[in-house]
Amino acid sequence: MCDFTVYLEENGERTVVATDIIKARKKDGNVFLMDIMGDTTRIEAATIEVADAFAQEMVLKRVECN
Amino acid sequence: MRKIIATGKGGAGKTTIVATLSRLLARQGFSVMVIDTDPSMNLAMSLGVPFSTVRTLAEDKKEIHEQFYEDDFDGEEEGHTHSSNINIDAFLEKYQVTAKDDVKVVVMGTISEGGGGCICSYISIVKRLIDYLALWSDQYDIVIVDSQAGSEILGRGLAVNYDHNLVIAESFPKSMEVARHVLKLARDLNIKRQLVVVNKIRDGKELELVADELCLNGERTYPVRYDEKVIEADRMGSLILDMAPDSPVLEDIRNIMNVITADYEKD
Repeated sequence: MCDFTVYLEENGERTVVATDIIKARKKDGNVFLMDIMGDTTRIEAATIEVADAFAQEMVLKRVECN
Repeated sequence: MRKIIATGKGGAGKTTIVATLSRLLARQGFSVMVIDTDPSMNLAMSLGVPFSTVRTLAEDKKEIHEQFYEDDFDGEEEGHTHSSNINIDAFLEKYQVTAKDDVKVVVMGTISEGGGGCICSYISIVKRLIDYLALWSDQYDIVIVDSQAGSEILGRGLAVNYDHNLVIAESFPKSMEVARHVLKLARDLNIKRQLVVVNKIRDGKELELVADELCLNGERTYPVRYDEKVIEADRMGSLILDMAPDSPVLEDIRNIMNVITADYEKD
């Protein structure tokens, strides 16, 4: 399916933070992810590093807060 | 609400069996909705509904997308929040049409333009619609999805935790190959029960052949006999149920219905 498994990459390690994601939006320094059921997951202080539709993967990275 | 999906190779008879089964279930007193997710969209016609009277979900993709996936994204804390309810019964009024025996039909629809992309988003809408129905509507006892040909629909995760997968197969190698893959994917999706329906049986040996070829793992096989009148009915835009109510095909589909309803009683 053309949806994403979303990973958060921290300290060189990937953790799955959401699955079946069909929409992602950066807002106020956070990344909001919406799944197929319309449920949302908020990842604080993060940015989208890669969105790869072929691999159905999205990778987020933590953003350093000043 | 119980959920059934019918899968199998193109031409195996999914639509005819779904249409007939839905009406037989409705005659037993169940409130039934059928959803056509096959881009060739024949289910409504098989149920006697003129296609011109149907508004497909695909036609209103943008509007439905806004309604189902409004992204206010206003959660306060990191983590997961659930979407709010929508009035699913009101939503359905625009898209469901009533067929004989009061079966309700919804048609997913398909790509309207060459190069118009894939049908993933339409399938997402159907998945969400069915989940909404299960959670927030008491209109239906049973929803039956008539899937597109092949196994791809299961790869899209539409049928996670469904009650039954009706694997419609013929005793030909190509048909059995699709059935084998469908059975595997459905096991991955935790579909509770799989019924292998061997369609267009002529001499009775096909049932054993299919069971052997598919190396079934607890799944049961059910015959539906061949009857020329099914094709004749199809040519006339009718259903065997109306044209030849004494056909052995109906006896066989009734048997499948009884198995399904008995399973419900067991659960």
